[in-house]
Amino acid sequence: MDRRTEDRVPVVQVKNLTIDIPMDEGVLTPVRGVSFSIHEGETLGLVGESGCGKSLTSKAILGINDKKCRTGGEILFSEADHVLDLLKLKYGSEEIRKIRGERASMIFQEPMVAFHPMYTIGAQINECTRLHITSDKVKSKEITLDMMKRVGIANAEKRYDQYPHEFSGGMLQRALIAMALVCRPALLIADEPTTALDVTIQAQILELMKSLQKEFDMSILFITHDLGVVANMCDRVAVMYLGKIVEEASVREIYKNPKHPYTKGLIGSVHKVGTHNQSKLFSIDGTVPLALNLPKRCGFYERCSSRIEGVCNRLEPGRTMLDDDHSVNCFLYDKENIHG
Amino acid sequence: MADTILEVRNITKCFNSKKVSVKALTDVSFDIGKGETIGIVGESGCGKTTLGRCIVRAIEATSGNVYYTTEDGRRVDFLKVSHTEMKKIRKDIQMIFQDPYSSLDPRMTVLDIISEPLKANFPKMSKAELEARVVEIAGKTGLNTSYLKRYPHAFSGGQRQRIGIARALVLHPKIIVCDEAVSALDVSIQAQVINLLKELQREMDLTYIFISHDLSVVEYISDRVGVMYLGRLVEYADTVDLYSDPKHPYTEALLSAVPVADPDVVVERLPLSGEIPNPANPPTGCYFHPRCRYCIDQCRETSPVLMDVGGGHFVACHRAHELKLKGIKYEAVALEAAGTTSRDGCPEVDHE
Repeated sequence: MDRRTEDRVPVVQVKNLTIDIPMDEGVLTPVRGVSFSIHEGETLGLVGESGCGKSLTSKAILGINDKKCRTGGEILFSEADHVLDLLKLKYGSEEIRKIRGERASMIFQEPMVAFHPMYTIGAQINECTRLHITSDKVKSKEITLDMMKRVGIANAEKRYDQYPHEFSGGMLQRALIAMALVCRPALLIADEPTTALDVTIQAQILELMKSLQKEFDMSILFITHDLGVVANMCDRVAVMYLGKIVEEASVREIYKNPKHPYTKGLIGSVHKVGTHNQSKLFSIDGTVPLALNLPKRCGFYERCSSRIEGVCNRLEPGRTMLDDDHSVNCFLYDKENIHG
Repeated sequence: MADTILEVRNITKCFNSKKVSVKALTDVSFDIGKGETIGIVGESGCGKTTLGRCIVRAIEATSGNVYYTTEDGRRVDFLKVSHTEMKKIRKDIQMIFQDPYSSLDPRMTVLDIISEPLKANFPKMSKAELEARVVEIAGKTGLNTSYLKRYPHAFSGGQRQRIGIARALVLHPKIIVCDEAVSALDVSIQAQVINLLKELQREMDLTYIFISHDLSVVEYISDRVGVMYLGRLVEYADTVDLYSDPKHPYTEALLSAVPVADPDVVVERLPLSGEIPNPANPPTGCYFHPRCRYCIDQCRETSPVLMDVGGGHFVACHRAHELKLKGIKYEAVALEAAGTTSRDGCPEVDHE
C-alpha cells in the first residue's frame, strides 16, 4: 500500500477526457474533462453515483463506447518502448484491437450478461487466448485451462465444456476474470465487478483480484459506488461527480480527511458497521442533474450545503492541489481564484 | 419489549415442479414487536424474499401460521382467515418492492398508482377524498405534489422508490415488508430513503420487516436481526448482540465478509469455502455443515433447532454454547450505550 508514486511510470494517463453525445434535445456531456493517471501495480478507485460518467470514462480507454460518442482529450498508454494515444487510434483498427484484451482488459458488472449463453465457457475464454497468444489449438486450451485453475475454478477440465447457465454468479465472475487476465494485461478495468454478488462471494472475488494483481503486477482501475469495497481494495481514490473528478487522494486521505462537500456527503451517508450509530444518516439533497446543456458553474452547486453564492454559480472550480497527493475541485479551498 | 404484533410460526414453503420439490422455507419462526424493525439478512437464494412474500400472502405458504394482533386486540391467523375478514385486515400489512423501475406500472400516472389501493379497499370513496388522501401521503413521503399527474418514467430512482413507499402507506398499514427497498439506489439517495423510512416509522407507528443483503444498512435500521441460510432461520437476536457476539458460524463468516468503509479497519476474513448448496438437494443434518469450520459428527446427522441461548438470542447450532465466535468490534461507548447518538469516526459535515 505504501508505494511511492513518483518513481514509477504511469501505465495509463488520461488527460482532459471529454465525451459528448449529440441528441435531439442538445448535446449530452457525460464526461467533462477528466484527468488521472494510474501507475504500475497500483489500484485507482473511481467512485461516483450512477450517471456520473465513470463507466463511459473506463470504456473510452478501451475504445468500446458507442460510435455516436464524440471523445476529446488524450489517453496515453505506455507500451514497452513508446507511448500510444488510444484516442487517436481508429475505431476497430488493428492497433486498438492489439491493446484491447491483450494489454488492457475489462471485467464487467453482470457476469450473467457478459457471457454469450450459447457458447461454452471454455470456448469463450479460449477465443481471447487464440486471438492474442497462440493459434495452436492444443496449446491455447492448455493456457486457458491453466488460467481457469488460477482463478479458482475447480474441475476446470469439466467446467471448460459447460455453458454459462451451469455456473453460479460467483463462478461466472471468476470465469470472466480468467478471460480478462489470460493475456496478462498491464491494466485491468473492473467496472463494478462485485455489485451483483453476495457479500461472502464478493469477499472471495476481491481477495482473488488482490492476489492476482500481485502475481501479475498489473494496475487496476476499480470502478464502484461501494465505499466499503473501495476502502479495502484501492491505493488511491478519485471521486467523480457529473462528469468531473472533484477530488483525488490516497484512500486514507479520502476517508479521514475528505475536503469536497460531495465527498464528505458521500462518506457521511454510509453507515459504518460497528458503530451502532442511530442518529440520522447524512444525506445529500436532490439528485444528480442530467448532463444536458449544463450552465457554466460548479456541477455540485444545487446540492451543495456550503456553496458560496456569487462564486459557485458563476464559475467552474479548477483543480487545487492541497498537498502532493491530494487535489480538490472546489472554491472553498481555492481562495485566489474566487474573484478570477 | 413492546407488545408482539406478529408471530411467525413454522412457515414452510415448497415449490413443486414435475421433477423436483424445492423447500424454499423450512420451519421459520420468530416474533415481531409493535413498532420494531426486524432485519432479515442472507445471501441470494436463502429464502428471504419468499419469507416476505409468504408473510404478506403474496404467495401462499405450504404450512405454518402468521398470528397478527389486530388493533382491537384480536389475534388472528393471517394465513388462514376467512375471505371477509381478510378484506378487513389485508390493508394492515403492505409491501415495498426492490426495483423501483419494474414495480410501477408505466402506463399509470403517479396519482393512479398511489390511489389504486384506496380504490380497491374503499370503492365508495369519492374522487376528491381519494385525491386528498394521495396528496397527504405524497407530501409525507417527500414527493412534489404538483407532479402527481406524471408517469413513472419522468422520475428518478429515488423518487420512484418514494412513489412505492407512498403506495404502501396510503392505507395506513401497521406492518410494512420492505424487500430490498434501498438496494437499487445510489448511496446518497439510499440515505435519503432510509431517513424517510425512519421518520415515517416514528410518525405513523409502523413496524418494518426489512429484508436486505446489505449488512451495514440492516445494522443501521434494525432493532433485531434474523440471519437466514438455505431456507432456515439460523440466528435471531438484538442487532448489536448479533453483530458483536454472533453465535452461529454462518453469521460469523457473513460478518467477516462485510466491507467496512474505513481503510484503517483490518478485518480478518473467514472465507467460506464453496457456495450455497442447491435447495432442491440440501445436505443432511445441519444445512450449513459442508461449509462450516466447526463441523462435528452430530452436525452431519441431526438438524439443530432454533433455541434461546439467553437474553432473547436464538441460534440453531449444536455447538452454540461452546463456540467462541468473532463478531464486529464495537467501540466500547457504542456497546455500552447501544442506541445513543454518538457520531464517532464520521466526517464532520456542515448541516445547514
